[in-house]
Amino acid sequence: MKFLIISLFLNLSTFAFQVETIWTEKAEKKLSLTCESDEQCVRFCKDQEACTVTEDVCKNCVGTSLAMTFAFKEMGRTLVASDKLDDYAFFDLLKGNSFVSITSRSIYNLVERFDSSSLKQKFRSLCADDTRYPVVFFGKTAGGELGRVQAVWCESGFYEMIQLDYLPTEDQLD
Amino acid sequence: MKYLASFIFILLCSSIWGSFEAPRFELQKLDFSNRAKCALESQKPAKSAFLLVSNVDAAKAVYRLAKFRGDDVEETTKLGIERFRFSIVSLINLIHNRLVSRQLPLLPSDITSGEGHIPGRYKNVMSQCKQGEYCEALDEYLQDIWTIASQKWSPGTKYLEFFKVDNYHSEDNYLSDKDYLKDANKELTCAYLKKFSPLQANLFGTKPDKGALEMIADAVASKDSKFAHCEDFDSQENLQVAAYELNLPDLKEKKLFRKETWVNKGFDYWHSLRLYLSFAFRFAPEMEKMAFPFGPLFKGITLEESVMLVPNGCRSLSPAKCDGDRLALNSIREFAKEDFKKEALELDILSEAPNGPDDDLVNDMIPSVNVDELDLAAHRSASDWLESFSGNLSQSRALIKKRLIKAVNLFNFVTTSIPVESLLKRLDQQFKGKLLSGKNSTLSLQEKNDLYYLCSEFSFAQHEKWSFIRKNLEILSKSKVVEGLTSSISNVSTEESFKYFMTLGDAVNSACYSLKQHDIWDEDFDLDKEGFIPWYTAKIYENKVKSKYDERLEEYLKSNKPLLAFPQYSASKNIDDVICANASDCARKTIEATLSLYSATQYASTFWSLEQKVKSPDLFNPYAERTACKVYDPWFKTRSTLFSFLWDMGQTAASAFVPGMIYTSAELQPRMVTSFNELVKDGKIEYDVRYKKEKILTAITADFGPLTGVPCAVSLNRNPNNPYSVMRFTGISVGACNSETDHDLNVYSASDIGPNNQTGHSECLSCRLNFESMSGVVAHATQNVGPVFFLVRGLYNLYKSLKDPYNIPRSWEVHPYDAYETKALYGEIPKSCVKQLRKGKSCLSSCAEKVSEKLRAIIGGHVEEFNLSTYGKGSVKHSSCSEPIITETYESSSDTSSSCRLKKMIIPGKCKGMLK
Repeated sequence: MKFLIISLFLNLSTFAFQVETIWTEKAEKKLSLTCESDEQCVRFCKDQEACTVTEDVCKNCVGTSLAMTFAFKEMGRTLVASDKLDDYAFFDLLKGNSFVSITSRSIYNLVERFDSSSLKQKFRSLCADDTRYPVVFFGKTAGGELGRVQAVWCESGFYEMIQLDYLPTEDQLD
Repeated sequence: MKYLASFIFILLCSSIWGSFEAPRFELQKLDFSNRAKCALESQKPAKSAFLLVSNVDAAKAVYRLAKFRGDDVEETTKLGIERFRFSIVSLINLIHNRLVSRQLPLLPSDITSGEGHIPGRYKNVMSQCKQGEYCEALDEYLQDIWTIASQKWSPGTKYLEFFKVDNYHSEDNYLSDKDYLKDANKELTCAYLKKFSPLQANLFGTKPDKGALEMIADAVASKDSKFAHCEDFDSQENLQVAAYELNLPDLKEKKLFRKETWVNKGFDYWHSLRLYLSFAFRFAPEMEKMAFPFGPLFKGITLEESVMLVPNGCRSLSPAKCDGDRLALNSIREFAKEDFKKEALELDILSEAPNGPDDDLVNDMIPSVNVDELDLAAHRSASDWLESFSGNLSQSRALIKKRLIKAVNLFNFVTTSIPVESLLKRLDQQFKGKLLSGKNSTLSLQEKNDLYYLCSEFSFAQHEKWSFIRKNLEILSKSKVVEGLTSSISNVSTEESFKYFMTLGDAVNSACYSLKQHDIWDEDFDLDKEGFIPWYTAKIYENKVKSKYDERLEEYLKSNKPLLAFPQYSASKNIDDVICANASDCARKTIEATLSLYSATQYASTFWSLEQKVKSPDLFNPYAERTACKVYDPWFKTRSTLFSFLWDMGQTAASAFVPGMIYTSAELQPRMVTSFNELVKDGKIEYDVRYKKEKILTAITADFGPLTGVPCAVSLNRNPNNPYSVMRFTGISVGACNSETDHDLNVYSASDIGPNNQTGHSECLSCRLNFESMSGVVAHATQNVGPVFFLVRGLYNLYKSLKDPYNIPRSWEVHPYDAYETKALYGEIPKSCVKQLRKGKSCLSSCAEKVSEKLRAIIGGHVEEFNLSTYGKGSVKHSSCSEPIITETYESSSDTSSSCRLKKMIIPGKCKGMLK
């Protein structure tokens, strides 16, 4: 019983696959999945241990649009992680092919210094498990630009992300 | 091995890029215009334009790509910048070549004019597209057209296929041979601009004299230091920006006995180029090759913020239109001025409480033109100028974005966390029940000041009659511009935000008016002006008082917890993590946030591209919008039109002692721009009669004081039916009226206000100023005067400007090669040649002219040296040929004229490749 509880905990606390951004020689953006025996992942990768998913560069993402500025400035402050999602949600998102992924090493980041420690800090604050490079997923607008924040991949799981719009007032905090 | 791999890579790239090229370059004639002619010209389409490219975003992205992949950062970034520039000029060249060979149709720039044939589907698509919103139908439409254009079909087949997409059947929809001069080369020419020089003399002066012509000639001699080939990236030293000159030579302006051609098709040409460029940059398969190996990355660049097309001179790239967006777009020229950074605080465009883009039109009606208004000459190189312009623009855009994000965050949190009723309750608590509950408590000096700020700021911003934004908000809440900009980051609609602000403001104002003012702000009360929020000190005190609002908040937070803050605040103690410190801060910040949304809407076209096309402001011609808006009439002087003018009191000032005492022009509607003739005849001032006249007197004296020395006829009118009738004067009228029934005000002069009348009649002050007699007073007035003075000075300048002869349209044209060859032949520009050259004609001897004409037709370029014989063999040295060209000419002359026969011309074998 004790063993069962420990293994269940391990299952919850670590994701069985890794996600990483890749930029090819032809400047194409891809997400690399390393499955580490995760069944869903292997199935997604068509029985391979690893695979890549092409992610089209989104419109106006290489710039300092209001949405991009907001994303990098407000990461971890207004844009925060919320409930843990089922792993299926992650693969459904990839299959939908209408997402934008960003990390603290994102090439899209023309707002703050590339891979700066303050930006790393903001992204790392999204994961409680010290994930080195959390991958944040946004949707796309009808015009193909950066849309609303959706989720974050941490090593311990896939979490929903929300844009805060409520804060308790000082007296409510007390 | 590594070198071999690099070599193979470069070879591979070369073969891919080889199929596209940047356009070639040839100097074109310079069109000079005086003010009135420049105004007229703005209604015609340009044939020459500057392409301004900022590759900061592209370079940053490639730099990050290189870092990410572990590539050689310097090499990769340099290559990326070259590829970015190459893709843009090559794509423009490709679009041009397709437009002039019927491989792309012209897209009509105006679907409402009723002139020319407008294909049905196109009209439908364009009428559906809304400004500030993504228009999918347009991308689909352009995709259908571009797919055909990219096929390896003959132009004839493509023409038939375009007809299947939309009914492109008319001559209006294509540029053809008929639109060009006979045997003309239909190329678009392109040059990289190293320096602005006399070869852009049309931007620096009006009527060229002998000295100017000599300078133009000298500039031709050293043109290699001014221009480089568009593909010569070694010459393009600046890694942030690049300026190119694009020319469309040999287009027919008019057809004999037929309707005009370029005048009709020119705007459609530029409109098409801008639309196709925006589309093709992201979706064209050709772009992948041009940008290789960065194609997919470049597709993500906001092209419309990196590239701008600007007419070279007085003509325009889009049809004249008088609307807020065009005005805002043209406000962009502020960023090009050398003193931008120094003046930035004063500029309406960066003001936290702007008057709007029409402000410049009202305050500066007769600006200079063609006298290097954009300070091109103040910079060492064209790139330095562009770097400064582009840097100022992007920094300002960043500032507006920062304000917008702050505003959106404030409304996102305040509307959900503290509803209006709750905020009002908290305000009442903060001011010890004085504001709403009518308690008789005592306020500390700080609390008195805080209450004063709250009442003043809300009164000024949200007064039901005099608010400078209230009426606009009703219109703006329906505008989708800010909504479009902020939709991906905002949880609250603009309409909801404005509603919150209005409800709160009405309640605060009503509470403030009910206060027993003298009990709170008694004789001992000393207002600390530095505690006002920055927009208020900027607007009311014209930045003469520096706001210390943020410092005061930081001080407050040292001993108090913030009312609303991010959880991060407890650790960071950073004021940026605070939404609002207390109730009055929350309330006052809603005004600030509303103003941010308001100013972003007003100037949206300046900072963002609201349509799916590259921007094209009339950078060098401030008369484009003045003519379109009929503020300036190019024929004014010629027709001796009488005019009158409404001067905009705007929101000139408020008293230092009375919260929110406002007077304003009653007639001027927000964003109203109209012609002199249509403008209201005079200015009017209204007072908020709820305030005591003594306080008003103080404010009036402060603002009108400087005018006391101005000859001024004061009269009083007591006509209740038409209180403003007295002010029908020629010249300027300064007026003050009140027609309220129960709180009338007698104003006898600027410094003499009589007791209030309680009867139902109207009182007016009018002060007639005479332009001629006020000149001396205005010239000697000090700088330390109220805003009214500047308005009057503006009018005096208007009058003075209109007296000058430049208001009769005049133009001149000079071909730089003509100037150069004249100097080459005579050693200088002879005085006798000045007139001839200014008419765009050469001034050579008959044989020199014959040889020059022939060479320009077959090779282009210009003659550098003439060694001609009047009878027999001679030679000339040509700019495109290293060896002398042998000529045989025979001149025959009479007393009045001479003619020349060019019998033979031998082009050296080495130079035959240069033949057209």
